Amino acid sequence: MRKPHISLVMLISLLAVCSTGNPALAHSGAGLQGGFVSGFWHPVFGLDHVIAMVAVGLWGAFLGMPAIWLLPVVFPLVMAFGGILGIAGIPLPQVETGIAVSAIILGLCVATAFKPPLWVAAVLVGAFAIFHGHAHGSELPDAASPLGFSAGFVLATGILHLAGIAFGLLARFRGGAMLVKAAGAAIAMGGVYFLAT
Amino acid sequence: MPRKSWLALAALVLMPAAANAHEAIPGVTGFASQLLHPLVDTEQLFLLVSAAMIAGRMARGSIWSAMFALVAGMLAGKGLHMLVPWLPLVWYAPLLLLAISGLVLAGFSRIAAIPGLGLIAASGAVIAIAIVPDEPTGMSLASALTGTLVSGTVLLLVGGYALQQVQSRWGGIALRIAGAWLAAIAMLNLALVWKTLAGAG
Repeated sequence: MRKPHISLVMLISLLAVCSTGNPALAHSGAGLQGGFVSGFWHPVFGLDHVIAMVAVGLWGAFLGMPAIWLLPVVFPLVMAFGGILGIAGIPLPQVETGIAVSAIILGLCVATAFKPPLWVAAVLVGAFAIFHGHAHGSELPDAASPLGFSAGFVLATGILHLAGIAFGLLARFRGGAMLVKAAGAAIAMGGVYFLAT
Repeated sequence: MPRKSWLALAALVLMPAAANAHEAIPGVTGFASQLLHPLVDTEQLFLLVSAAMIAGRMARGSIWSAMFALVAGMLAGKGLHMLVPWLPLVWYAPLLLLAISGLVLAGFSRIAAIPGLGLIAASGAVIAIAIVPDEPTGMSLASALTGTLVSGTVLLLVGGYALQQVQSRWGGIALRIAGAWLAAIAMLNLALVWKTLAGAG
């Protein structure tokens, strides 16, 4: 008898885990583990963060080398600067608006296949990273384990970038570019929704 | 390894009572606790991971130099700490070093021997400074230091060697991104330590 392909089994398992995930999120625990878990979910549960992070990866993949790795390197470093502002209690006006606008602008960059010079892309992504970092950093001092919380949200942010890059690599295939552009347009519309609500 | 070294290691393993700094994992005591300490203390683990990543970005064949740098750094750090018990910037040093290591990893696809070995030795020194055995005895300190040395060098050798084998473009990119993550985590916590100490002061 032919054995099922391992990737199919893994896919089914992943779907099962994802679809039954809610009961496992009842609490995040305490200490380092609790801090890591709550930090990890912080960007993931904020859909405005999610779409903007994925847009960074999509745009990086669309721009090609070296933007594909430079943007995911610039983002966490500048995000840390925004986080430091949040930790220090230095207020940043319109943080949530900035996050929504980041999704709109980055989504439009992907949708229109906008290819500016590398430094412009890095500055643009870095500027938006400050808002995302401020939102995360403001909650850092109250976390169960600040080190765990920061490791969690930096890791989750990076994984969302990588997810965007992985999807963005579809642009190399026939018809894939249109799919990636459509994803960018959807992200921009999501940003408009978050701006309006 | 010389026979005397094996005997000394065996003695430390068989005399767990001497190594009772604190339990890294509840229920695990003695030399095993000291072995696990750098792996469960997040700051120390991040420092060792960054040291292994730096070793992985250095020239092939430099893994043994990296190991000697780590060991020399640990011994020098602990020696310095014994001479000067209250070192300045001791609270900031691990995170500051992690931030620098992360930035170097993010910025350079290849790391030259001198800065690389310097960062690894500094990581070893900072890790060893944090070793404070509960009992103020030479045996307790030797046990704690040996445990940290063993687990630290094993992690560095295995991690550094494995990463040196990854010569692909994507492997290098992954290390750069991971370096940026480490630097970001370190900078955020550096700010938090500064805020906490400033508030306490």
